[in-house]
Amino acid sequence: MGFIEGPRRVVRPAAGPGAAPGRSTASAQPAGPPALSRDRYRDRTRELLDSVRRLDAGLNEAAVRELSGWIREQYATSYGDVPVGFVAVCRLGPPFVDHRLSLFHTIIDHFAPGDPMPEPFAAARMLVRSGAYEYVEVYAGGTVLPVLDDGSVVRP
Amino acid sequence: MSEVDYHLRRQVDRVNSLVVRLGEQVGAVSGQVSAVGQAQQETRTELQQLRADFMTFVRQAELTANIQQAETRVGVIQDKMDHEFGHHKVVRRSAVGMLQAFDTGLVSDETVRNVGEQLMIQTPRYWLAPALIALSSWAADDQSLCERAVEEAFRRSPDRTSLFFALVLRRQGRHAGAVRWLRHYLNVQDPAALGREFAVILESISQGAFGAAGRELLRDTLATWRETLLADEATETAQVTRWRAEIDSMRAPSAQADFPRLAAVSPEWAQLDAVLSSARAQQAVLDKYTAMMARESEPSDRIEDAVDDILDRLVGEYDDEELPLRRDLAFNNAVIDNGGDRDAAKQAVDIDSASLEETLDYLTVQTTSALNPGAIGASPATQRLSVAACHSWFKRAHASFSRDYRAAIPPDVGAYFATTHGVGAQTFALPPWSGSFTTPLETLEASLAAHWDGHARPFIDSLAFPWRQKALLPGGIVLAVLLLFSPFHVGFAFVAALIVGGVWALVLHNRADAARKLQETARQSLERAKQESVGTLRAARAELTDWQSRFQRADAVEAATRAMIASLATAAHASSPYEGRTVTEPAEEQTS
Repeated sequence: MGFIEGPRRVVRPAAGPGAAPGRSTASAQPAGPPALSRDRYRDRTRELLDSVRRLDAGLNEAAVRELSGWIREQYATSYGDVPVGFVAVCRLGPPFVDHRLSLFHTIIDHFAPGDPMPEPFAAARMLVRSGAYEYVEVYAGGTVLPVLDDGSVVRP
Repeated sequence: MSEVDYHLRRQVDRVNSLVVRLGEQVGAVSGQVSAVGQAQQETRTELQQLRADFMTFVRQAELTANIQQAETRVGVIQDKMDHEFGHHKVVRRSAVGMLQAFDTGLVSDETVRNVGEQLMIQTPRYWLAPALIALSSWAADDQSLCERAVEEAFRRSPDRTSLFFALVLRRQGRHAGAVRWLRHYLNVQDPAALGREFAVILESISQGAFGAAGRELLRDTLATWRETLLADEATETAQVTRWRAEIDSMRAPSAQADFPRLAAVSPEWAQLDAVLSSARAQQAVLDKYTAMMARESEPSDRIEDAVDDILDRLVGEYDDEELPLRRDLAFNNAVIDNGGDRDAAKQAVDIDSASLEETLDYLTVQTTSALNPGAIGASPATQRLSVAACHSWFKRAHASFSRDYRAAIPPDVGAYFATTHGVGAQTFALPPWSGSFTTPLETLEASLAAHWDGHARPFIDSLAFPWRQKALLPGGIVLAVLLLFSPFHVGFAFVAALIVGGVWALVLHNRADAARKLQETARQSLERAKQESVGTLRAARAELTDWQSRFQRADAVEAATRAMIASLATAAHASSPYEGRTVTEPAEEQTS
């Protein structure tokens, strides 16, 4: 991605994530398929959509950390599975077209069209760029769930 | 000496003339040989033509034989059906006649009763016969006979009997009794294995035939069934898959003709084309279903007629025993319809086989009446109701369809050039060049032009006349002549060297001239080819922009389509043409 190196906000909490990722992996592990998958495809709440959108709104590090913690908790309690991150349209303007939020490391990266996105996020990119989805959830197994603006989830 | 010379010369002349004649003869022979070759070529072409014709003929003969065979089979099957189930037909006809007789009151009770009893004896095992007895005894007010007959009919076919009486009582205006029979009917149904006549029930809901109470009952039952069936993920997925196939079938044809250069240049064209035709399906889906939901249903003149049509169909419907024969008949008819093509016929029958299966689960009935109403005899009104009832599967299928083609958009569209050009006796092969359209067009054009120049220049240079190499030998000889003769006579040496050198120089100059011309031609033609390539690249970029805007326009319809599908949920009730104006006859208060 050499030639377009965008300004990048990297938010790395010093010790914070130690506990949080542990919890999220733990909740992702017990993949009791039927019940879990039903929950997983329930409509996302309006607050959740708003929160994910606000991640792009130029918050400071602490706020981002707090917000992603809240999001993680929401997923763990309501939907039974925590995505490793989100990909959404970037509203910063050119050259950036999309960004990702990794709930694991709480990093926000913005990407230009030519920049490759790391796996497993790459599969979500073209979906996001179509502009039809509010954001796309990316799970550890590579599952990609687009979320429409009314909060409904497109099942795989 | 001169004589010998003369003699020799004459001999040489004769030999020469012989050689010339021989040459002519060889020429003639070669002409003949080529004529023979041509004739052989023609023969081969004709033979191939003959073979192709023969194969066509064989295929044609096979098809004709298939058609004839199918026609014979149709005759045989119809005979067999007449033979084995002909008496069912008589019962059906009698049933229709009896119902009409009830309506008009033209026939005496005695006759009706006689006919019923006769049919009972003639058609063992058929449910309709005791049902007719029940009807006739009801008319004759013979309660005990009526009860026994009803019990017998119910024993033979609980569901059909219940439905039959429900419809007959409704026709007679006994709504409470009709709803009671309807409840019987629904109680004996297994939502996972519904008979074919269930489509008729769906039909009566959409026609609002059973009044408010009947509608309530049906709605509750259907809701319970849906819940039971939807607990099973596989059943639901199967419905979604069918809807997905429906949407997939609406994909637009390839748009390659509109993007010729992009198609020629880009290795990603196949994906782009597939994505665009999928996106264009959005409009097709929107149009089709908007039209379907907006269409005015054409109700029969009177609602009674519409519901009685259902009764007619129920009475006229063939029995499960007849099904294998019916299926065979359908296949043979399909063979005839498809001009003898058995494979096509098999496919056609398989598609519709869902409607000939003995049982269907409720969700499948609903999906089938939404997608292929003709197959189970559902009316447009029922189709609308079913589409509305299927909205959640439709929504899921549509969402996953949109997701799939969006995810299939190639993130990086590239261009690929590798051509060969003939210049004189030489060929110039341009090594492969590829670039991505994510880079600005100017950079891309410059890169392609540089690539052309970089490879064309060495090629053109290689065509140049190698003066140094070619002039080495003549130069040496001229020098040798000069050195050899100058000790004897300096002037002569110079003249000789001048002559030798001059002739050689002339020859070399001519060759160099030719090479220069070739070089010039090569330069011009490669320059043209380069300009053409760059032009194609530019045009492909423009076409890609076109493609993007067309895709965006097609894809933007998705929101409208999604909204339309969501609106189906609320359209479920309003779409029934008889909603709110169900049959209420003055005889409502009568109870059977």
